[in-house]
Amino acid sequence: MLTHKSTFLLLLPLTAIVAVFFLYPLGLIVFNSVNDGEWTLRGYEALFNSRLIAIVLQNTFEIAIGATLISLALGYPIAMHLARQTPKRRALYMIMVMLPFWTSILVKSFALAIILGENGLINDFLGLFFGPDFFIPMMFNRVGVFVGMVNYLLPFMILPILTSLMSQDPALRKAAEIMGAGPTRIFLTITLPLSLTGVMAGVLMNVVLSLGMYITPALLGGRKDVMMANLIDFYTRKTLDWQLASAIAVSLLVISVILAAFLQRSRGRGAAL
Amino acid sequence: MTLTAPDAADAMVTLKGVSKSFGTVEALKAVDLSVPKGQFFSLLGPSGSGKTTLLNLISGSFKPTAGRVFIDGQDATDLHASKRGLGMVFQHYALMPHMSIFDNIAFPLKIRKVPSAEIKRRVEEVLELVHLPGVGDRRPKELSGGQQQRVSLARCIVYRPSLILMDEPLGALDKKLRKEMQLEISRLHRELGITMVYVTHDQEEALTMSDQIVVMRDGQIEQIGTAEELYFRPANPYTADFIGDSNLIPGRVSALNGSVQVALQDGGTIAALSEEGLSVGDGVQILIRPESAIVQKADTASDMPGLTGELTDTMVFGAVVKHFIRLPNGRMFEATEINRRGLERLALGAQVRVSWRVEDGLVLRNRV
Repeated sequence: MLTHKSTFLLLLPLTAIVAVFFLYPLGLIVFNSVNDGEWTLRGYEALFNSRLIAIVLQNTFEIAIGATLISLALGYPIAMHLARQTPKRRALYMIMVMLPFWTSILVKSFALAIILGENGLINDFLGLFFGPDFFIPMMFNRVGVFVGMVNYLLPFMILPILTSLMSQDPALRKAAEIMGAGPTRIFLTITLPLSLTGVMAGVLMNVVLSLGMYITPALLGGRKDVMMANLIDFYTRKTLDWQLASAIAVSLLVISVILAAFLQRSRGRGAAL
Repeated sequence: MTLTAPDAADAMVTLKGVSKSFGTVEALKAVDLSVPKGQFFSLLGPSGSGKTTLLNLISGSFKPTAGRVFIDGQDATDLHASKRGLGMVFQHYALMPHMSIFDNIAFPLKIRKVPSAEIKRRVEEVLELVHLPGVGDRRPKELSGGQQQRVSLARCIVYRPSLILMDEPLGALDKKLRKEMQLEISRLHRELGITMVYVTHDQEEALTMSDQIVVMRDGQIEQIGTAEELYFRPANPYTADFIGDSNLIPGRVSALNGSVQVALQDGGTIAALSEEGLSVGDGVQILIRPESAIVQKADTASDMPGLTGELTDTMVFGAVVKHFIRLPNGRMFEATEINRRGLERLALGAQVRVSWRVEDGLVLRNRV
């Protein structure tokens, strides 16, 4: 057993780092959002009255939910496939799933630009069949944003779903099979409902991560794909309106926390089954 | 390809030369087996003996490497598990944790498209049958292990399969509950007349419940018989040792004159009984069940076959008393006596004579 003293000492370094480099700046932002020399709610007032911010907020949600749904649709089958492999093979495939993690999101976004761009790999290839002027717009629009974001989000969807699939007792499926159930029924009545906790966890992480996305929409998106994080950057660096930037940041944080709490609650209900 | 098993008229399951390998491991080696309809049929053996593999081949969860599996006279070798119409009870119940008890039991009925009114009636009926009325709304987790296993039995019985497979269904329960469930399963078997194939490593369980028992070892069948046959006429030293307690005394056949004369490794000759054709010189073991042996003072005159040794321990188990005798060669010999008031006790450390009737010593040929 650890004594109180050693527990304290062990936790001290991390606590100190979190306090100095996370809690303090966060506090500063909250402070900035209501104080520019004097106490004021001007930042929040501007926030609620701005049509731009309303549109960007809607954008942000559309993109976050869209990207999460695509990631779920792509990630679930992958997780199912992984769950069925032998441990050795699974380890190999896991490396492939984790590969996107090893590259910086900036580098990945530029790499995707090479693939998706007007003169990119895909459009050049299509040009061979449909003439040099043919191209599908996949960059500076929502397609580009989704491709870039899903590429980043997928591991966060696959891992929790895989965990919940692997914790299922294989005897359940075997029992259902012997009772006469076909594969579709087994999936819909057993595999899927029992993996919902993993799905919820994946969705939660995906949505929260998407809400704060910054580089991908900036590099791969168009005029209409501005997200909240880009707007914060705009007010911080372009107009130097730090108070409004702080107010937006705080609002985004609050929205994320509410969402997380909401999803966490439904997840808790799922786990209680 | 649909074949009919040649001798399948009254067999629920017939296996013909069935083998199963996992990679280089041979889990089952060319097994032939026939399970008669309506029987309670046990597969008994230590872990790794192939009994669960055999069960999985019948259920269709595994495909045999070689051989054919016939169920109710039809070749089912290539039939998918979901098309075989069997029931199976698992060691850890395999109830769906996210469904209520009602939904769990209704599951196989919904697959069979039974109308919902009838589902309701049949689920209630079967819950009554396993003595668990009124638990339909609960989740499996809210029930005890024994209750969960009753539900899993109910889930099988409810769709009336003609064959139920059980994979160590009582393995996860404590001893008292196990006894209770043994009686329960036996009762259901009697009342419903369903053929049951029951896998266990617990010899007592197999002996008390089964019509027939298959003793398995290393992927092969050692012996098939009733509890009585396996106990009193084991085919070889392995079965003798696996079923019940046993004393095995090694020796060599020295003469055959009515009874068999066995020359012991440590000198001396013992007369014993044998039913199979032995010849002089065969390496054998004499089986003496502990309850057939009598322990007396070493100088007691007796014309029964016997051995002398040192009484090292006497243990009282309530109804029975067990004596442990160390023979001159160091082996232990166990003798069991029914306890009664005023039973004479021999001093520990004393030289004693254990003896038995000629017909209680059974000669078993060593495996070659």
